[in-house]
Amino acid sequence: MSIVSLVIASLIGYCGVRLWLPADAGRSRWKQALHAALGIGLGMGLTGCLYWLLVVGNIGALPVMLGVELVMLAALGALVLRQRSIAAPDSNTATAPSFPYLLPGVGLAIMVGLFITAFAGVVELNPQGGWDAFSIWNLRARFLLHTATWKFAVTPFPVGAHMEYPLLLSSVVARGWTYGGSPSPSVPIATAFVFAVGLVLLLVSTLALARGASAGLLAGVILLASPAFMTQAPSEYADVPLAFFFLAALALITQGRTSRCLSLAGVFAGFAAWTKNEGALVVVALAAALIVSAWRSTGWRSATRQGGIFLLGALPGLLLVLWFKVALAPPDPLAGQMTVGLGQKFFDGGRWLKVAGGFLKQAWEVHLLPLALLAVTCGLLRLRPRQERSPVPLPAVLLVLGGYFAIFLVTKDDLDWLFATALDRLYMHAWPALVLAVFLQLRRPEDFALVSTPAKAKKAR
Amino acid sequence: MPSQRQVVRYPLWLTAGIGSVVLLCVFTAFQSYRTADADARAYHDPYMINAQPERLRDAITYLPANAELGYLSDISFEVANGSAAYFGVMYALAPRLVTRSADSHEWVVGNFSRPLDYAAAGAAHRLEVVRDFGNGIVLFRRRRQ
Repeated sequence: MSIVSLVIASLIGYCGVRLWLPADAGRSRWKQALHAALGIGLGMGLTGCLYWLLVVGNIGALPVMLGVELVMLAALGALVLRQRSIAAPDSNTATAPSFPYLLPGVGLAIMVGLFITAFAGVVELNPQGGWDAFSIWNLRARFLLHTATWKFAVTPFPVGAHMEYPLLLSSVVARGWTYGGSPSPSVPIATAFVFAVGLVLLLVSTLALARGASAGLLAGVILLASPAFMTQAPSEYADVPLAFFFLAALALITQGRTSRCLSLAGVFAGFAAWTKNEGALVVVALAAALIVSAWRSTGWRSATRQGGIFLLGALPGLLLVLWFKVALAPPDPLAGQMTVGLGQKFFDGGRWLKVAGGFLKQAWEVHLLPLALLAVTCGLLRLRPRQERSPVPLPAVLLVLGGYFAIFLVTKDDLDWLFATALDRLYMHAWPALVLAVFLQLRRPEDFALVSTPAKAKKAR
Repeated sequence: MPSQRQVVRYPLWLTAGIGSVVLLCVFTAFQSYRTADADARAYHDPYMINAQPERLRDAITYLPANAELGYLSDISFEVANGSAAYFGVMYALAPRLVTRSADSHEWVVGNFSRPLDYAAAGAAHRLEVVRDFGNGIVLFRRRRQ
């Protein structure tokens, strides 16, 4: 039954995406894949929020939740079927000659196979996940299993389980356990797996649509070359889901600056904020990059409109976070400690050097090869003309990384401890988005095509 | 767009370059796979979280499903083993809440790494032993005034 919970969530999300995004006639396989990937995230996010609200509202029993979700699925499904029947058939079947994508395709298949094998091996030996899984995310999911105990997930007692962290992932896991009837390890494992595979599918399909199949597949190969991806996905932490929501918001912004895409991007950004504290920084970075880019290209009026639509989409998630932080959760120790000696830390040159050194060392030790391969790809494909480059993703990624850098500057926690325990996970949030951002700046392999007319054809003429 | 009579080829350097990137990525992923597998085998349930539900199975029958409990141990929270032992008990007993204090709740679960005088350990917090489960788990209850 717990797997059924994931299927229902994904179907609700898929139908939601199909209805939310423009109903264009051209439905390529990559567009279906993109909708499926976005649907996984939308469904997980929506049903996770719904579960949380039902539990807090003292009506979080399985019959109520199942009833609400099935009604929602039936209604959305009917609307999708109606939309399909009135949509015009795809008339644009001709395709441009593409770069042979057999090699990146086979490479991606091998790497996904390796990832699945590694994931299965790790979770078989450590089904409870990493430290934060059993001490934070899955522990709090257990509290959310009952209406009588959900308040333990935000207890002010000093239990050391970061009760001030947002609750999307814990709600998703608790929902799966409620479906299954017991807190089986299979639910957090399946959740972690679905988010990881969905992340790969999301990146590949987004770039396949925007820059061609070979670019999408190549980006997927480079994404999976990060050792952090293989170790962090089975840890059952909230970092891969956060990376997913960040990437989903960016993917939608790059799809087009329509109201539908921007509002759905905002929804995913809101989910990011409800997943981890760092998600709030993701919302700010995305909004800032979007508004500045719109302002530079089309002026203030358009920037205000685009930013407003994006933030309107994020509003439900942000309100949930605000309510949680103000009314339910214990005070965040990070917020308190940031103001202590702020000026002194900020103007301490040695601290700047130490933080920069820690960031570079971590990048060198964990991400050197994937970053080098990304750089080689940049050298091969070269930059697109400036006016064609996508202006939002790279600044958004840099703002997020800059935000993390600033937090390290002002935190009172031991920096060496943070470098050892947190930094690789923070890089994980930005890595898929960075791969997307870089590929959107590059030419397609197809742009290097050498087109010739065979002599036979010339003679016939 | 090229017509059907046109032949499309790609420069060798591009095909070879992309091929090399893909091969290096596969090599990197294979190395990551080996590292992840070796780490998982070397640190197989390092905090013995999986063993805790069985260890606490009898104690659970004494505790209401929504109970708030205290915690008493001979290992400090300041060391990793102490924190791990605490979270292992907390995870196994959840959705019951286990706080870090032995002085604030009626029921207190004891989690000990070695045999010792549990009655004396409890008495220091005005607790009496309800049951010693014989595996380092001891259930205490606060003494009536």
